[in-house]
Amino acid sequence: MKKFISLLILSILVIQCSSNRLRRPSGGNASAPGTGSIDENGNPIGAEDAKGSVNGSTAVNMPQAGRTLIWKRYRPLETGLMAGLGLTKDQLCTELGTNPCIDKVHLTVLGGNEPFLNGQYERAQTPTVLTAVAVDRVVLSSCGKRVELDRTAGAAAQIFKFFPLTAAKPSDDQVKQQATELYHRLLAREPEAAELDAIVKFAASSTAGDKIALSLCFAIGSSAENIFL
Amino acid sequence: MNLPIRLQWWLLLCFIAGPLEATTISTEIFCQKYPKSLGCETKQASCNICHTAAPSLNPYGDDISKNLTGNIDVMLLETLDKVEGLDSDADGVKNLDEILNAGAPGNKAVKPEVKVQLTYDPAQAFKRVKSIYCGQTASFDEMNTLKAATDPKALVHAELSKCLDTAYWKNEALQRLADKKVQPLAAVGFGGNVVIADYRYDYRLFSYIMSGDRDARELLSAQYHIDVNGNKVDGVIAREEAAQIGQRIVIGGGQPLAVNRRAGMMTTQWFLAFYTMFSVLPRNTASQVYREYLGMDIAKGEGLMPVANEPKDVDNRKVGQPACAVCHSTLDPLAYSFSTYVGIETVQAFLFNSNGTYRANRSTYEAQGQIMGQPVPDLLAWAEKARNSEAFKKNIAHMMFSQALSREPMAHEKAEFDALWQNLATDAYSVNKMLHRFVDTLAFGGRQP
Repeated sequence: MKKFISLLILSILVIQCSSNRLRRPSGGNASAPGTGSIDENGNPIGAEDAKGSVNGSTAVNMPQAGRTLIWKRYRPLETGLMAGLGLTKDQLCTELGTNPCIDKVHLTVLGGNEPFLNGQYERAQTPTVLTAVAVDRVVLSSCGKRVELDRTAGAAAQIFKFFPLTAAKPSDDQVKQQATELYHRLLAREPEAAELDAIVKFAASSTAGDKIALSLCFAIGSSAENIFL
Repeated sequence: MNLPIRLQWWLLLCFIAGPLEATTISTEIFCQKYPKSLGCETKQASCNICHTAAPSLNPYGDDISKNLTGNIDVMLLETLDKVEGLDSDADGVKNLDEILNAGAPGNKAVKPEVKVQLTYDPAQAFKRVKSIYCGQTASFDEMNTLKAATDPKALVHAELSKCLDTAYWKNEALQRLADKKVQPLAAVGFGGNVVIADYRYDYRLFSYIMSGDRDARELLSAQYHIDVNGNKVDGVIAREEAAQIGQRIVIGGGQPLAVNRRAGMMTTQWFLAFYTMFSVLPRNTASQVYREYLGMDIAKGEGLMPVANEPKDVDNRKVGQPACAVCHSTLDPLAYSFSTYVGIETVQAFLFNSNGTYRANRSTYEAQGQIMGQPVPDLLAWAEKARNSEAFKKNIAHMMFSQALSREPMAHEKAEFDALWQNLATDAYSVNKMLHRFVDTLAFGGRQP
């Protein structure tokens, strides 16, 4: 438990860094104007602050861009993790080893619906407070599985191959290479220099290769950029 | 029964007070005063102007209610004047400005239409296409290819074409879009404990028509079905599972309705059995088609087009009372055409698979039906009016817009949204072609420069 909490706290640093993609007024794939903060629905807040005048009345002179992000729902989230981490469907998170987290246990909060048995004929329009918890669980589980597989594979590791997972502490360059690989695989882009700097600082606070690998994967995979388009 | 004093007073007031709630007259008054308001384009003011979901009021409706001093049909004009200067939804825009400029005075999320500056971002559009229509995440290599492309939009369209042909789109995404229309229930569907019909046909038919450049109007006209292998099947289809009454009860299955009585999704055995059930006048069936295929929910007061001298109250349900007649003067004539189609039967169904079949003598008022102000002799004519209406086109566009973006079109997107449904006929009612237009819009791929 202690390990998990420290992992989460450390990961926040990286999440904040990668979330900057959603804050910049230009560039990035989901830029938002204004304050740059994210509301409970995952939408950037701030577009509504800018007002102009139409026909003598106070009105908004920009679209309500805070409502234009799209929630990446359960299936693209799942296939993205599978492709990004080289996992099969049955290697993703399961409840008690049997019920799939995405298709069954957390389906509703990940944006799906089950009509036949539950009579749930519509999906949620926006994420709920539990969506973040479910995303964290699914991403952490997937990352954990990949780390485990790569640790076992040793030199034949597929994803976490830039430093030994058993190493006490990887070099800054190794951390950057690994982070870049994860940005490519999970966010489909190059990391920015500031993001890599933050990651290196974060990695310096940890001592074990496998924990750094898991934290990087979790932070990048659960960042807002991977959940909203 | 001991009710709290306040509740007793409230109930008493409900009975003795004049109409404080909106009627069709109220919406007419509103639209006469504000003909340019959102919702008044077709003279059917949306209930959303005053309601969240009727009878619950939104902040604008709440302000009207607070300022109303008598019968709404008499005092509404005066009350509308009183609330013009307020900002009911506290979005910084006064009610009158919202009404005159395509905003919504009771909805903070909808503000007046203004000039907006958005730039189309092919990268954003590509990622969205992959996610929404392929159920996948765009890869690093794909994004690099897009970045290097001289015509990135062409790649977006190429990817969309691929996605619309995937199993994900046809067997998952489109089927989830059908859930609300079909409303399956495993316990009484194929393989359930009491089988009244097989809704798998409904899903297959919906997915088939909505993909592959087919004419979406077949949703309300198809006289064929699709088998489990994806092949078209003409003619009556026998039930796959023999009728039985024992541990399980099986009285339905297949598609027993005569081909010349079929009208797509609204005449499948499941649709007729599930929505009509044992009703003499299938109001529920008619209102479900009206809601899901024409986008008008009578329960919310939408699409009310009262027919003179209706309702006749053919099944003696006392729907002629003024409070009921508000909706039933539209709903009952809408349902007459369905009255000759069987819902659920028991012995007949067990013996002859009669659920969802046509029986001319089931009613005497089939030919008195009306839809959208036009008389129709039977359900086939009803379906023809429906599928060729503007409401049908708008509903298809709305369905695909909200499926992709999980929201309503915003005021500044109205022109783009209108172009989607207005071009549907030009595109031979192909949903695929409409989606190609859609991914080109700023609503889909636009962002702040």
